[in-house]
Amino acid sequence: MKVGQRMVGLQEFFKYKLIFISGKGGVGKSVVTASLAVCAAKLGKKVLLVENASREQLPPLFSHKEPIGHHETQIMENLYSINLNSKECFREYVVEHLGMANLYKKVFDRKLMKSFLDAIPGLNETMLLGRLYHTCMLRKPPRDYDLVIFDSPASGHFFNLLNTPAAVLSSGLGGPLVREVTKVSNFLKNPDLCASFLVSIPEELVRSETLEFIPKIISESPVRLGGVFLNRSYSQSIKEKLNLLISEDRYPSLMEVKDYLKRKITMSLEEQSKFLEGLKGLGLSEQCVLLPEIGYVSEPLTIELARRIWKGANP
Amino acid sequence: MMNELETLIDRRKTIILLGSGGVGKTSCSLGVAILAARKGKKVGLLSIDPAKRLASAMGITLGSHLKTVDFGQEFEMKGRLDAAMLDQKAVFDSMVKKHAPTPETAEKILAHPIYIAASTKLAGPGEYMALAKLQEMIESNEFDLIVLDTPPDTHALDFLSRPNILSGFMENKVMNWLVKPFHVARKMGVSKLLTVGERLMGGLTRVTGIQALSVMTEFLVLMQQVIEGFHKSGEKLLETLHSKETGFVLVTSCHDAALRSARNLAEQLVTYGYALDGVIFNKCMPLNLSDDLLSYMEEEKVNTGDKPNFHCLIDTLYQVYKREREAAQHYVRLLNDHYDLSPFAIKVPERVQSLHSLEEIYRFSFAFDH
Repeated sequence: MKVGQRMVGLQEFFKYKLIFISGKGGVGKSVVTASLAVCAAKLGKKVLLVENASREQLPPLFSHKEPIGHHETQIMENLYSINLNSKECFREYVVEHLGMANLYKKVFDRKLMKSFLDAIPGLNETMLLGRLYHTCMLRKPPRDYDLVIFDSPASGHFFNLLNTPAAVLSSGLGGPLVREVTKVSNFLKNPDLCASFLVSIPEELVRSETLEFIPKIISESPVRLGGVFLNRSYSQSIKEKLNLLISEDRYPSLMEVKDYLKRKITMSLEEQSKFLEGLKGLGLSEQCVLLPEIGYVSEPLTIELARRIWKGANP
Repeated sequence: MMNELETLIDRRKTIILLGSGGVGKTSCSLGVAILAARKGKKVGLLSIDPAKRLASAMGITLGSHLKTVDFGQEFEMKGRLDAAMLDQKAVFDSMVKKHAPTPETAEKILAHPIYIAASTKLAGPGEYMALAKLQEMIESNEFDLIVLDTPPDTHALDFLSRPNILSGFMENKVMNWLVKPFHVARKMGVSKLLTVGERLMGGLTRVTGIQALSVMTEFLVLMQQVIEGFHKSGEKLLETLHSKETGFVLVTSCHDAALRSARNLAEQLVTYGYALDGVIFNKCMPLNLSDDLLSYMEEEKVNTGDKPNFHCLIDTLYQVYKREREAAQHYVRLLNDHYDLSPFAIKVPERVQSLHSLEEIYRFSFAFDH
């Protein structure tokens, strides 16, 4: 795996307990996340792959027809997945963590109380992050994961999610819940435990938005930025094939195809170097991983494909 | 001759575009809005959290206000386009000012630490703010057509099922049963909690602590009229979304994940009784490539074993093209068979370069009527 000028292996990821992967919508975030999880599991790490979505994106990648919901479900050897539901996280917190099952039934299960809790801004996000903290730090078999990977919401919502603890702590609130939030906040801030990674692609709009987003997430979010993945990157050797195609005159009907490929590939390579230049300007040129353009990715995601995406990253 | 999208522009007063992240909803919303403005309509375009680049190409700053886009003399524009690119906090603030009973209360709310945290740092309210703004635009009667560019699907699903986030809060009279009694009891220093509501809140304090809950209830009491105002406009909006004057258009690319989202969205539209008028397949391979590709692949089939070494480039392109065509056809069939829907389908070709200038945005709109 080429990281700027430096070669690293997948072990880079294994030093963390929790990895957030985000990026603008449509950049292939879920495929990148899932394939990383597959590679880690294949290397013997016990991995939990997490999403938080009303409609699940991950199970179809593993040929799961039915949604898996808020249940840690094994999807292959060493790999588990869950779709965290913040209401369930809240229930678990009160019932399992605080040991107040009776209170939950009497108080929180009431319609009136549920409607009240729905109106509390930030409660869902807080519960979600709290659950991630507990999953990573209070490890008991069978929940003893080596690595938790969260297929996070797209950039804007991701930023807001990470900042929820800070928002809660700045709201003038106090008490036991706030003490819990402080723990979660400290966990997120710990650069040895948590890191976020952003996925981008070599397209003008996405590239410029990612480069604008990076300083913001570095300076204004609690989680350390571990790196950036430039997905759908052509390797430089594509130029050779492209030149051969352009100089080929056996197929006159391919005029427009040639033009199209030339524009597309040239643009993509230009965007790639602009992206790398931008990262250099931000002092991050060593934190970028180029993930290859592999054409149309159809479901389910095969192990071979996952390996192809992260090829060169094996130890 | 008018195509189906042009007919739609004549038939509906509000068009809402839905789709998953990255499919190009904002660009397509712009395309549809400019098309309508070219045809002579007074168009209002509402976009949430758009790319700054698009906003600046149109000469619009993020905020809560509508601004007329100046196309100058160069481009033919029979109608007019007013656009707002919404900044969540700006809209939230303006709604608070509108619904608060007095300017003093509004000031208190705007300065409250919970409000500051919720309006700037928390996820969620942006979508609802956009809907409130939409209702305001509809009520102004200034537009022949309003185009709404929505947030990505997860959140779109939320607002389709419940455009009124506060309905449970209002219908269950949470304010009267829980919030106010607790607030009053705290203010008066009453330690015994007598009513059901007070006892429930007492239970909640075992988790949150009493101080946190006091601050929260104080804030909600302060917000009472604002919450009621949001609720009322949400109720009206629900009617608007169901009316004959509102239509929905799905935007999708031809990739599995985007199409799956589009399927979910179609299902939601049917479930909640909204009208699905059309599907835009965006970022399709430029159509004129298809014949050339086909004839090359045919020729190569004859010459097996003698593949030129650039063949893989073209083969990948062909596979993408084939998948794209099949996926789009399959999706349209699925809408017919499963949901008894027959929306129009438009394919919009991929642009290699993105929209930098007003001119490029203007030209892009021709993809929708040619």
